[in-house]
Amino acid sequence: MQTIYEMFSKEMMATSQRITNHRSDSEDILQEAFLTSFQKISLLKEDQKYGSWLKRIVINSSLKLIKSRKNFNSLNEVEHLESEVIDQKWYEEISFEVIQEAIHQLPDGARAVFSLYLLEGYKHKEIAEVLDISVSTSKSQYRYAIKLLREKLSHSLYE
Amino acid sequence: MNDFEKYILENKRQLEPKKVDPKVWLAVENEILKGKNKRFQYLIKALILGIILSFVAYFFYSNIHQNQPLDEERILAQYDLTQYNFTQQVNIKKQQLAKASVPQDKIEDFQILLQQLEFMDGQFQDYLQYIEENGYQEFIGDQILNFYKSKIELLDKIQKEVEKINYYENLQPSNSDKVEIQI
Repeated sequence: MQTIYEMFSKEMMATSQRITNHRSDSEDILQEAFLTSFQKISLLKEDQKYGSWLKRIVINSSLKLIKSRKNFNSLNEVEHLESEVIDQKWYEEISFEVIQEAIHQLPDGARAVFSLYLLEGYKHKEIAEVLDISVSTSKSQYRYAIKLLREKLSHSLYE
Repeated sequence: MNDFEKYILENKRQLEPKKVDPKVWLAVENEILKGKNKRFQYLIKALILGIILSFVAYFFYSNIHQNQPLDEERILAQYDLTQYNFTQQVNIKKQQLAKASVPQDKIEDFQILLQQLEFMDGQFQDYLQYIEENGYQEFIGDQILNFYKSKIELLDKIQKEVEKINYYENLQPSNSDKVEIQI
């Protein structure tokens, strides 16, 4: 079991922390998720699906937690976003620590949409369902997250 | 998806933490061990309950078994002790005596004989019990054969006593009511 834990813990921690933006909360979620998965592992028909099953538990728990937060505002569609100006590989000079930090500084909703869509491979329709928002809100929140990230990271280049 | 998004996606693993606090695994392991201990405790409880139920069932069965008369015919047949037809002889004699009656004031004369009969029957049950618990041994077979011989002799004696009393009663009636001998 420890081998399985070692194999998945970092990825799950990253996934949860990108949603919750809180290390201690994510550690609790990870603990519960692994425990649940180990207790119910016999129900899993295909071993190969363990990772995606575990991730589903982690994501659901993380989303449940952020939705229960008092300061979690309902997500709205963000209008009039500027079209992105694509510079050539401007981001390659930025360290991953800085990128990670920039992601964590995104607003809760935008960060959750960004993580689910880009890093976890959710469709906007699925995100809309799990976050109780419309598909267009999910799309606009994603574009908003990218815009904010670009801004933050661009600033970091000149600091 | 633009190049920046692709870059993030391709380097997703770089965004993972270097390590997860070991306390998370320790907590998971601790909970797993607790669960195992719980299962072990349930197993022990089930085992203890099983043992208690077995004892209860054993005592219940033994009690019933003790209170029930031993199956005389079965045990005798098992060890070829029926060949002497003792049980048949005893039954015939008992039936004859059951029909016999004597004057009420003479019934006390039979008490010692009847008590002797009762004592012998008790001994016979002990022999059967011994066979049931320890298996058949020849000396017990001998005891059983002796028992039947003695019992038949005793029943004959009672029969003769009845006949003698009734003979004198016919000669010189006592005007006492007649009662049956309870065998």
